[in-house]
Amino acid sequence: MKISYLIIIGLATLLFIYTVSSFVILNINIQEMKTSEISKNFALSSIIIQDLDKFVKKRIDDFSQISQTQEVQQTLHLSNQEFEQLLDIEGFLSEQDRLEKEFKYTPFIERTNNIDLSNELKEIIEFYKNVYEHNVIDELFITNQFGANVALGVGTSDYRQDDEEWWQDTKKDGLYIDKPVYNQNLDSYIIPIGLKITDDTGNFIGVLRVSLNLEDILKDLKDNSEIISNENKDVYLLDDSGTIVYSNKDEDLFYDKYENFELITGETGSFDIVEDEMTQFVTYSTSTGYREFSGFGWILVIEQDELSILENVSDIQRELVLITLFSIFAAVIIGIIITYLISKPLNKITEIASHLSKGDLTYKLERSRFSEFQIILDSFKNATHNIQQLIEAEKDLAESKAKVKNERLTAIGELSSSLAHDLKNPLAVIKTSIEAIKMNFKNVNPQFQQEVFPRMDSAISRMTHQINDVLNYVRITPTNLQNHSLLEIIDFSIKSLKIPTNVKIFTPSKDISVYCDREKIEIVFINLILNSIQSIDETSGNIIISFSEDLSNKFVEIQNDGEEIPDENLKRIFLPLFTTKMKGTGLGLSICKNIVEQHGWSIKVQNKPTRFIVKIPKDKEN
Amino acid sequence: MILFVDDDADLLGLNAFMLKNLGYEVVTAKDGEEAVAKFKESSPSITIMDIKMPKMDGFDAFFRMKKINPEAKIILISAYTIDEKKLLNAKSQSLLDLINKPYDFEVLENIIKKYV
Repeated sequence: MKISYLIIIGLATLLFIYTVSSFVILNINIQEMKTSEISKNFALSSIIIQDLDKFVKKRIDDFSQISQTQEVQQTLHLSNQEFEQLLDIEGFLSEQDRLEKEFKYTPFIERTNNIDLSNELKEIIEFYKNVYEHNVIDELFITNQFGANVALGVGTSDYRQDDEEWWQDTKKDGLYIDKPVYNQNLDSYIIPIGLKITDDTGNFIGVLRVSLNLEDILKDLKDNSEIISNENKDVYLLDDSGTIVYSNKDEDLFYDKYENFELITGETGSFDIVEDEMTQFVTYSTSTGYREFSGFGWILVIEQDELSILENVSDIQRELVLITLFSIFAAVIIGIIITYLISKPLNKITEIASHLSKGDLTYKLERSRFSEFQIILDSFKNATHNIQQLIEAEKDLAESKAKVKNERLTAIGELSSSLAHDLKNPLAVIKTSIEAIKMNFKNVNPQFQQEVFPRMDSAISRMTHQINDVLNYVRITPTNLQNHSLLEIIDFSIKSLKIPTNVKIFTPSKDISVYCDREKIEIVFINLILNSIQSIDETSGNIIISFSEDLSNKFVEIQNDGEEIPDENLKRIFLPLFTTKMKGTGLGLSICKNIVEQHGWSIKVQNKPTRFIVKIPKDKEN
Repeated sequence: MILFVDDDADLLGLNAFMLKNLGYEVVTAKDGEEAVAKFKESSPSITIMDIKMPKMDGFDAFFRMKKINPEAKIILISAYTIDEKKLLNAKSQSLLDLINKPYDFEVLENIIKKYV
């Protein structure tokens, strides 16, 4: 598996997980948004309808105050008194109404109508118009408790009102609010309102009729709904029968029946409607009045498309898809780049490794710009350096071994020729001896045996000795190490030698144990003692063998009082074939050194007194 | 009188005994220097001398003896290696003979008989 695939798959998986989780979170958010939008609409609808109630209440309060003015109260009082004195009020009213309708003649009205009060009402209308800069009031008049018109501010009105349903309702309920009515004068809809007028003691004394311009009532609502419409919300104001009084969507809907009116139950609520596969959330609030004003039962409805809620969200969804696609693309690109950046040095390292494995240690290591790779390269460099050093060391060792071997071969060559020469003397002795024996075949002269036989023996033992020396030098056999008594070895060595009578040998009284190959160490001591004997030669002398030890070594010293070794010979004394003696092979001390070193010991020679010292390290002991 | 020179004591002793047994008077020397001294001292009728010897080798002793007495009769004995240059030089100064070790005593005896 390539690292590149792994990186790309890894990045892509990461992105996939990120995207899926984003979509899940987005969906949760969508639900949240819907819920919050609906509750927002709830709040809006109830605030708007409450404002409307407040507004209407304020208007009603204004006119209530007017009805409580002394002028209105007094005028009504007088009019009512006048009417109470009439015997047939019903007849009078009917007659007056008929006259007015048939002839447009209103002598009575002129009489009963209070000119001052009418003027007062007109001023109120003007006042409102000035303050609000539009017609607030379309109709304003006051009747007495019998329904007869007492003062007329504006509009045309029948003289008699007690036969009207609204008048009776007002008298009964105290407040009457009618449905919107189209008014040609204003070219707008009006809402007729009836207010019951009472005196100080609460007795019914008359009715005030005012028609409020619908435009005036809806002014604030419209301002609000325009703002609301920016948020893709449709606002409807319905009256209590479900007729559309206002819509911010389409003015032509005016006075149509609201199509989902049957779904509106209770004061507030919400429902979904599905239209052309589009869901609309509908929230509504019913007018519940303001303070003592019980409201006029109108309903404010806010409709909102699910789509409009999700509009922003779907943008986000689309962007999310785009971002995901782009990110996956980017991940692949980044993966490729990373792969390139990683695989290139990796390839380089592989190449270096293969070069190194082939033994090309001189291969140049380039620097990597990544510290991790540089660490690997550095270790390669170190390894290469170490291997090079190792190889150099091996080479040196091999060379020195070859040199040693070469030296050895040279030595053996020299040895052969030396041996050939040295054997010729004893051979000549033997040959001459045989001639002598032939000559004295009948043993005429007994002196012959004394002269010849010992010389033959000597010649044979010389030859044996020379051959043994060569064999000991040439052969390096494995050591057979065991603990041995050194004194025993030395005694045995002395016994195997023919000690001349002029030489005395002193051995130590206290024995030491050494871990060694007995046969080989015997050869060492035989050679060393023989050497001492030969250096003493024909004069009388002593050989003193002693043992000593310190913390880490044991020492064996073989000292003699024979001839001193010249200084220039001290250095060469252990070299093979180095000899000052005619009978020597020049191998004895060389063999000693080889055996001693094979044991891990060492040997040295010193003058004054002449002595050989063998050092036995204690860590070479078993 | 025969001067016999060899650094090998056994060989020297044995040869001296043999020659004495044959009736010759024998003087021995262990090395070149001693040989030259004995040569001066006793003026032997023939000198038989090994080449390889300590202190002074056979050739050098030969040249010294020839200086003392150019008529001296000298036989050299060689064991193995021979300095060819010295040998040619010696031959030019009338070296009687060169014997190789190991030699038959008879050969030695015949040479002595021939020149003495």
